[in-house]
Amino acid sequence: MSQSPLPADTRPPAGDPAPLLVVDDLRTEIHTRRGDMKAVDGVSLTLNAGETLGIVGESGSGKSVLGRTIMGLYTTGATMTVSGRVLMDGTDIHALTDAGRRELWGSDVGMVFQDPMSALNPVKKIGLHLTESLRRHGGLSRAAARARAEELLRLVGIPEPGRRLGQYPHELSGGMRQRVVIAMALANGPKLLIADEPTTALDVTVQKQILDLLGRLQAELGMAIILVSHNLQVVAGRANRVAVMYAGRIVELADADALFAAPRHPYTEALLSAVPRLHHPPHSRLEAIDGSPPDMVAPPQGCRFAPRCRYAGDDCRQVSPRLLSEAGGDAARAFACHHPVRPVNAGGS
Amino acid sequence: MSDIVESTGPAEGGSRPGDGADHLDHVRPRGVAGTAGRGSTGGRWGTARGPRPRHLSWSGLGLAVPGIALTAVSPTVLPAPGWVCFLAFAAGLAVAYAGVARLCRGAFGGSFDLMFWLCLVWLVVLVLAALLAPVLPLGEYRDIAKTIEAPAMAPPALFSEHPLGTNNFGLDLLARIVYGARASLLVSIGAVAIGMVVGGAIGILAGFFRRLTDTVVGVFTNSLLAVPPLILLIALGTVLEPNLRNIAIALSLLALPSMIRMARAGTLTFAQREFVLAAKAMGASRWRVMVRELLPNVLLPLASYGMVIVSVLIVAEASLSFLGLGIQPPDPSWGNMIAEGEGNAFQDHPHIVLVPGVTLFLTVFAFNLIGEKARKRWDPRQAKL
Ligand SMILES: Nc1ncnc2c1ncn2[C@@H]1O[C@H](COP(=O)(O)OP(=O)(O)O)[C@@H](O)[C@H]1O
Ligand code: SF4
Ligand SMILES: [Mg+2]
Repeated sequence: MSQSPLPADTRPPAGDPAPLLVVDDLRTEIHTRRGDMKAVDGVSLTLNAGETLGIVGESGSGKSVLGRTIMGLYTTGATMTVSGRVLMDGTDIHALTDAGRRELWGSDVGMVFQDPMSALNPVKKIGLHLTESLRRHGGLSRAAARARAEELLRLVGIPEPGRRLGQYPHELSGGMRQRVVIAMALANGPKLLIADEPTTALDVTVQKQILDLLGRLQAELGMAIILVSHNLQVVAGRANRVAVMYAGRIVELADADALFAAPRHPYTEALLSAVPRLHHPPHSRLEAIDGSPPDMVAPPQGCRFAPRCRYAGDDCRQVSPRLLSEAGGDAARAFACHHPVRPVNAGGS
Repeated sequence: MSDIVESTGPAEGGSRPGDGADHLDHVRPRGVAGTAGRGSTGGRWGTARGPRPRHLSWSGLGLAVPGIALTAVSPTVLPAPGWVCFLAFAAGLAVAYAGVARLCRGAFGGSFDLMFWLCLVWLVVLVLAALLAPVLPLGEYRDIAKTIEAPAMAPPALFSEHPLGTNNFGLDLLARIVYGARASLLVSIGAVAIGMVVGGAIGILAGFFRRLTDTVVGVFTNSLLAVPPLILLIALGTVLEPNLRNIAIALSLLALPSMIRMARAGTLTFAQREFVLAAKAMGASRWRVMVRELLPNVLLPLASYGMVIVSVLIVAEASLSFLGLGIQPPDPSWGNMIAEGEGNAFQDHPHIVLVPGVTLFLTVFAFNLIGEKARKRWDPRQAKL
């Protein structure tokens, strides 16, 4: 088994700086007509400054809801209930007032969205998209904000940035628009960037450019990134650690290299074997896993993957497995399974 | 994929000749439209890439000249019964239109929509005339003491002192049309503006906050719609003094429900787009999201729908005035001018009704056509993104 490039431990040893982000038993219930949907159901994780965490899982597994709840965009209100804690630099995001959270958004945390077509306001010029938050958070003058906006566009690799400021979103290609969205998220130098499927809506050739851009920006600016994707290949080679989500829970959390080399959770194994190539037609890749995710309004008892799992036994349908590290195994790695996949190459550690 | 969506710009240009044909089908036979389209610019891309330079369309000229001649001659010179004159007039108008349309497509490119420009010119002339009425050299429109000498019920004669004729008090009809336009346009545009501001605000709030706000607004809108408009107006007309402001406020109630619905539907559509979440994620307050993100998107479809509503309200105002509940004579309004044709006046002096009637028709038609065109362009359901 290959070694990971960074310290692998999820819980940094004493003496290390506290992690940038701590998510503790986060639950997001969305109240729907059919009942309460447990879109995120007890997620815990940590993220160090400058680190990249990949979150993967089939669509509908709750990745977007998790990202938005971490950010505090989804809070307890009329349509949903959030419990658990999200500590950003030690501050509980969900304990803040609305105004306090707004202060955080666009400055300490930035978000990149899936669809650059709809993430930009069609009737606002590119310049205004950028300068609004620069002026609000940074208190910059009109001219200074414009200069900074131009600089940001240059940073994300947009040619002729001065001219782009005066253009409308529909005048730009999809890839260029996504670069603008990234520039918006970076405007005030965030410590954490949440990129929710940043390449899913883009052409295959553009996907790689955008992912490379995120990597370069991280190297230059040093922010932590949560990279969300339904596609393991997007995360491969870019995330330090990967969390695999299924039905609102993390089912496996490990160093990226270790995870790709030898998945321990049957769902991770199935995802991996279902993703042979990057240039696969979209939406065809997960068909290799039979069946569909459970109904999150009334999830089945026991392991939620059991109906689709080829290792499932009777115990799986009774007792829900917990996310644990293996005794005597890799401490940085945890999975939630009664009958984990044997590592192919047992001599890894 | 992104590229396909982006290319809506040119594709839209390409669809324009078709759009034009929709409106013009009843005037211009398809065959003519087809050949003209091919002949003038080679089709799909309209002016943007038209390979054929500007040119003089001889077939257009051949249609336009006799058409205009027939139109000019038929009402006066033709020695035939009235209905023949009328048919000749209509035929002349149609032929002239077809010819001029060809000429214009030759001169300005294949996507030139003559009807649209005619409507626009009509509205611009009307608005200018209404604005400038006091300084225009118009006849007496209101004070019958000054028209004792003037001929009563004079028929229209273009180059006389009274180009559109006079009414039974000898008041000049052209002047009354222009001053009537002031009342009609002021009242209906004012009513639409009130409806747009109030309805737009209510609709955006309802669409944004949903839940209780939405329910309350829904009940309000539905109850407003449940009252037949004319009855509502007549009821209001009996309690309110019929001045311009009150009529505008009363008419704005007619515009309100549809404005609320438009704004609410647009808000629901746009609030789901990620740019609203993106704005929040950049730290924008709810107020800011509504004003800076939603309002500009909702405004365009609302304004273009407003154009269509203006035409409805012009008719509503005319109906009110016709019934004597709107603008009170001797102040002119197109509605009360038409009402002057009551009794035998219409048989003996058709121009009393025809002059305001045709003006009303043309204005409503123009607002409708331009409004529909704008609405097609800015419909939220097909907004280009
Ligand atoms: N605003 C919402 N209202 C109702 N259900 C929602 C809402 N947002 C997400 N969901 C549901 O929550 C589940 C998780 O969704 P999501 O987080 O978007 O999945 P992913 O991003 O992994 O594809 C899905 O079943 C989805 O239908
Ligand atoms: S707990 Fe059982 S059903 Fe669930 S993944 Fe493991 S083996 Fe499969
Ligand atoms: Mg998602």
